Amino acid sequence: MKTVFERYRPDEEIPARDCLNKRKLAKYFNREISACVVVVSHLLADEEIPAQTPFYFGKGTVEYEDFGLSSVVESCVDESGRFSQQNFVERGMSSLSPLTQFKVLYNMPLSFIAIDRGLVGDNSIIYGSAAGLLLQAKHCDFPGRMLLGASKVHADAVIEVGFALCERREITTETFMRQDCEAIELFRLWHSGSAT
Amino acid sequence: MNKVYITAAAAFAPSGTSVDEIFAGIALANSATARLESFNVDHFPVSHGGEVRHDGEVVLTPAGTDRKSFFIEQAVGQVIEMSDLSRYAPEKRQIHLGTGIDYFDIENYVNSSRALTGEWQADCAHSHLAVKRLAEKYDLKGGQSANVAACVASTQSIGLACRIVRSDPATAVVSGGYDSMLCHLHYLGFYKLGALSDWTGDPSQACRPFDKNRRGLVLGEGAVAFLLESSAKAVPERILAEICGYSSTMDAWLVTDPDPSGEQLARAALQAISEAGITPDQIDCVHLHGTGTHKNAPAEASAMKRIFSDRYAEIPVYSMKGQIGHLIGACGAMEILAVIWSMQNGKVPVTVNYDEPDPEVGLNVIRGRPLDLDIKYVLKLNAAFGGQNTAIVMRRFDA
Repeated sequence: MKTVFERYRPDEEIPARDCLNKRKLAKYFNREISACVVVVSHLLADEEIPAQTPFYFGKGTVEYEDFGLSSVVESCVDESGRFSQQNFVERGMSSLSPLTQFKVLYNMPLSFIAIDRGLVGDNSIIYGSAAGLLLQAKHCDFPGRMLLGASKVHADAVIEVGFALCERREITTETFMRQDCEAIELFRLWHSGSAT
Repeated sequence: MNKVYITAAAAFAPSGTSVDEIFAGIALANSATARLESFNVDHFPVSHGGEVRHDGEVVLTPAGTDRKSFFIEQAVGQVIEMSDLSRYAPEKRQIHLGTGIDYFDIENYVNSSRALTGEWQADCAHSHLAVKRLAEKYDLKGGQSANVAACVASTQSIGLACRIVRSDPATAVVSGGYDSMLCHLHYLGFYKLGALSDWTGDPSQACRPFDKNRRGLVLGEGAVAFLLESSAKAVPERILAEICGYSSTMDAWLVTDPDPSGEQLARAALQAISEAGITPDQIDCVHLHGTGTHKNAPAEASAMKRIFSDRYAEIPVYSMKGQIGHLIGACGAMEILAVIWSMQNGKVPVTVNYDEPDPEVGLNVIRGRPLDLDIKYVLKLNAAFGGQNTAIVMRRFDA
């Protein structure tokens, strides 16, 4: 099993554009997607993987937002500081870019990596649970290696991302199937060599 | 080989709050989209959608309710109630559901002191927690997941459930989907994306799959739960249909548009058909994704050509979204109800609001009245924003 696990501080530059085959995609990215693109490029730096490689991804529970909620809130209060429907529609939503939705939808890390790397195989994106991600991997019938990934943006804006290239037989699921933890925990442990 | 059956179903849809009511809506082909009532849409540039209704009236919930979780908790409860899960040890009971992005109550947040400090979490309902609650409530200890693959989230969940039951016939899986984008932020987020229908006439006609005058998608909401069991454990009298093939692929094309060639959607279909042990010639009708957007229809038509060759313009097709809107993370699961209706009734439903054929699409979309047909195999296709595709092949169960 080959794994990469990386952590990015809130002020740290994430050079996603340099890691893309299709650089124009970068305009759609938030920092989480950027970090995923960078980490997967590190994992696959000297690898050629088939286009049919299955790709399963675990999205961490959302604890941080960077789509511009504060600007929406500022725009939609009335003079008494209460929510104004008219201000929300006419000013609040106008403050958001049409590209915001790409930063909000949870399947975007998987989609952008698939688009950039030409991956067309079996896939899924699981929210929150390591066990759910492992169940996907356990029931994969592809004969070769699969790509597994997970990301988590913590409340303090620290981003953690892990990716692994592995065969199904390399994954022992029992430990995590009984635990209530996020998918990123798997990669932290795999990377430290504490569990397979 | 071990077969996988759907043995129970419960649903909350814009067309009704029971499977019988939803089936009646499919038969009547009446539209369930209208001007939104469950939250304030004053000043919205568009304001139509498909809200969960009972006897034609919108089911209202207290302000701040995460409606998708509200409905799935009832749907799963009904499925559990109508199924004898005591035949399965808790470790052999699983739950895998598709869903969407977290609900956020922006009005309550702005009106609270939390907005001053940026503590928005209290006004957010994380989508996957409903699955966790349901697993705990009903002792479903074998495994759980919340799939968030946008418009294929629920069909990917059903696909996983199918694989699990096939590999372990002693396991039962609750599967399906739940979603609602009908709240301030999510609704207008889709509007900003340019995806929503800008139909200015009757809201019931706003979603027009495959029609020449289609104007975009109409957001809907709902929840549907199924119980999947193996042929080793299922009670024949309770079997609704068999799931005999599943596949998922990715377009790897553009994030904004489906691949117009339909290549990977067709590949998913052919893989699912192969897994079912049949050939494309044995598929009797196709229940398509059919969103009502400009780019969806020709992409699905291209996929149909790849799957069925010359037969693509003859094989009857259907989209449920003209009737109930686009349920995003729940759409595919809800549309499987229509597949079951087709097989049980020997009819291909009318695609609501399909009035004028688009010569560039060229599909045999049924209009006027349902098409009578001896239906044994149905192909169900779905495709997500971002390029993920699913195909499910279902077989009629003849006792």
